[in-house]
Amino acid sequence: MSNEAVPLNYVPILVFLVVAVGFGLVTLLAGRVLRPSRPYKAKLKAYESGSPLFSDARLQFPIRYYIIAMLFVIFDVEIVFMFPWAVEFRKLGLLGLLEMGFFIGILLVGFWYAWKKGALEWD
Amino acid sequence: MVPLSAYVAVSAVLFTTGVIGVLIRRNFIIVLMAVEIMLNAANLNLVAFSHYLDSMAGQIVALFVIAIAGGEAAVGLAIIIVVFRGKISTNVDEMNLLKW
Amino acid sequence: MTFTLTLSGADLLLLLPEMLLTVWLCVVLTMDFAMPRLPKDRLAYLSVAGLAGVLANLVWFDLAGIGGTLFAHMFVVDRLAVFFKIFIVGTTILVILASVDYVRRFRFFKGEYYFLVLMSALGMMFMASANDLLSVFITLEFSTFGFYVLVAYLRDDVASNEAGLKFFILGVFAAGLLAYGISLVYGETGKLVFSDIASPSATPGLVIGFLLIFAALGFKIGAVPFHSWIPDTYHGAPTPVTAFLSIAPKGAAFAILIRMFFVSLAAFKPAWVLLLVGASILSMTYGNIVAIAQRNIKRLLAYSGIAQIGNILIGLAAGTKMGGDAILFYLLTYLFANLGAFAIVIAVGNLIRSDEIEDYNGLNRRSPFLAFAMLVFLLSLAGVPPLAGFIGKLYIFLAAIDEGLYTLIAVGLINIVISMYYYLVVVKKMYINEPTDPSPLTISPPMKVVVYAGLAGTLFLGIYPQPAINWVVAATLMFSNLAGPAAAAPTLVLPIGG
Repeated sequence: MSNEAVPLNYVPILVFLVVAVGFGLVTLLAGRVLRPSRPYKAKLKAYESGSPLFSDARLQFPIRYYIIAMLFVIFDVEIVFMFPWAVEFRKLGLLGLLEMGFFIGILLVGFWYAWKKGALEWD
Repeated sequence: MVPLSAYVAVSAVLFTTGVIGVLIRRNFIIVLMAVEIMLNAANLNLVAFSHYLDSMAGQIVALFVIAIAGGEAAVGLAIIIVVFRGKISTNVDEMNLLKW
Repeated sequence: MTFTLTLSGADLLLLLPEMLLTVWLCVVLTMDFAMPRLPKDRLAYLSVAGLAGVLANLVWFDLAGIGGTLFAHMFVVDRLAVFFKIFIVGTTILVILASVDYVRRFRFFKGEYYFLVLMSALGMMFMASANDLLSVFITLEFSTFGFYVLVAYLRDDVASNEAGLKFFILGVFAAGLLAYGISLVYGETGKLVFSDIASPSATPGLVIGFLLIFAALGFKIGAVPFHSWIPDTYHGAPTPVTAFLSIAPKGAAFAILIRMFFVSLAAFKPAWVLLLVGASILSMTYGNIVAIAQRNIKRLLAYSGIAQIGNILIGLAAGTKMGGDAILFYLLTYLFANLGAFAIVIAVGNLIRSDEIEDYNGLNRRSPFLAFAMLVFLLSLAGVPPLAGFIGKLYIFLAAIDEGLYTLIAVGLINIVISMYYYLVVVKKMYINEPTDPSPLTISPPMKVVVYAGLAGTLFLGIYPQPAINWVVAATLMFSNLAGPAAAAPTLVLPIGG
C-alpha cells in the first residue's frame, strides 16, 4: 500500500462502475439503432389509464409543507451533537448527562412553541 | 494515503465555486445552495487538517458548522417564502424597491 | 486527544449572566404562547426586568473583578468582556423600551419580537466573551440569526422583506468566508484559541485566513468595502431593530476585533495597520459623502453610521492600549447619541408614519423637546463640544497621534467638517423651516425614558468624562504590554472636563 493514489481494494468498485455505465449506454444505443421510428401524436399522450393533463404540475405547494420541512431541518441537525456525546457517554458521566438534558430542554421549549402555535397541524 | 494537498485543493475549488455561485447566480435558492457549498468547503478543510494534525478540534468545528448551516437554511427559506408571497419571484434582480 | 469535562461552582459563576438570560428568554417565550391573553406590553417590561437583573450581575462582576476562562479557553470573562456585556445589555434595555409603541402596530407575533431581541442580545454577550475561532463563529451566527428574522419582521411590508433577504444573503456569505478563513488558520497553526494562534511567521494560508475572517467581521460592522447591506437593511427594517442593529452588534464585533488584532496578530502590527487605515479612510469618506444626498432619515443615519465605524477603526489602527481605550469610550458615546437619534426617529415615525427628512420641517414648533433632543444627538454624532461625541473623537485622535498616523487624522478632521454639513441640514429643517402640519406631537413614557437616558449619557460623558475614562482604561489593562508610548501612561488626563 505504499504511495498508491488508489488502493487496490477499490479496483473492483471501479470495474463495477465501468460495467454499470457501459451496460446502460450500450442498451440505450442498441435500442435506438434497432427500433423502428414511427412517431405519431397519440404516442405523446398519457399512457393507458392516465388521465389527460389539465394544468401545469409546477403549482405552489401549501405553505404548511414548508413549515414541517423547516422544522425537520432544524430539529434533525441537533442529532449531530448527540453522536459524539453518546460515543463518550461513559467518560462524560453525570455532568455530560446534565448538559445534554439542558440542551434538550432548550430544544423542547422551541418544540413546545411550534406545537402551541399549530405549526404541526396539517389543516 | 491521499495527500493533504489533494483535500485542500478540492476544498479550494469548492469554495471558489460557492463564491462564484453567490456572486453570479440570480436565484435566491441557488445562492443559498452556493453558500452551503462554501461552508462545506470549510468543513472538508477542517476535517482533513484535523486528521493530519492529529487534533480533534477541527472535527468539532465541522460539527458546529453543519448545525449552523442547518439553521441558516431554515431561516433563509422562511425569509424567501415571505418574500415570495409578497412578490411571487425569487429573482435577485427584481429586488429593487430599496435602491442599493 | 481526550477531553475531560469538569465544571465547578466557580466556573458556573462565570456563566451566570448568560444562564440567567437563557432562562429568562425561555420564560418570556413560554409566557407569550402559554398565556395568550397577557398584554404584550407586559412582556416588554418583563424582558427589561430580566435584563436589569443581568446588568446588576455584570456590574457586580466588574466591581469585584471576577474573571477566568472556561471550556478549554473558549469562553473568557475579563474586564473587557464585562465592559462589552454591559454595553450590549444596556443597549438592549433601551431598545426594548423604545420598541413598545412600535410593536403595538404589529398585527402578529408581538411577543416573539421581544424573545428575538433577547436572543440576539444573548448571542452578542457570548460574542463579547469569545476567545477562540470556534466560539467566534458560533456566537456571530447565533446573534445574527435573530437579526435576520427581526429585519424581515414586518410581513406585509415588502421593503422589510426585501431588507431581510438582502441582509440574509450577505450575512450568510460572510459566514461562509468566516468558516473558510477559520479552516485555513486552523490548518496553519493547529490551534483555535486566540493566544495560541499568535504565530511568528506569516504563511500564505494564515494571511488569507485572517483576511477572510477580517472580511466577515467587516461585514458585521459595516466597514467599507463590506458595507453594501447597511443602507437597505437599515432603511427597510423596523426602526427599533435598525437602532439595535446599528449599535449592539458593532460593539460585540469590536470585542472580537480587539482580541484578534491585539492578541493573535500583535506580531504583524505594521501589516494590519495599513489594512485598517485603508478601511477607516474609505468608511469615513464614503459614509459622509453619500450621507449628504439622503432624503430619508434612516438612510442618513445608516451612512453616518458607516462613517462612525470608520472613526472607531482609527482606534483599532492605532493598535495600542490607548487605541483600545478610545474604541471603548467612542462606542459609549456612539451608543447614547445614535440610540437617542433613532429613538426620536421611532417616536416621530410612530406619530406621523414617515421617515422622510422633509417631514422633520418645523419639528421645533410641534415638539420643542423632541427637536432639542435630536439637536443634541446630531451634534454629538458630529463631535461638537461639550457633548460626548467630541471627547470620543478627541480620544481617538490622541491615540492616533501617539502612533504618528497623521494622514488618518487629517482625513478624519476633513470628514468631521463634511458630516457637520448634513447633520446641520436636519437641524435647519427642524428649527427654521415651517411645518406643513403644525399639530403638536407628544411621546409615550417609555420613549421618554429612552430619550432622557440618551440625553443624560451624551451630556454626562461630554462634561464629566473622567469616570467613564477610568472605566475603559481599567477594562483594557491586559493590553498594557502592547508596543507604543501609551503603554507607559495608562491613565489619560484630558485637557477639559477631567
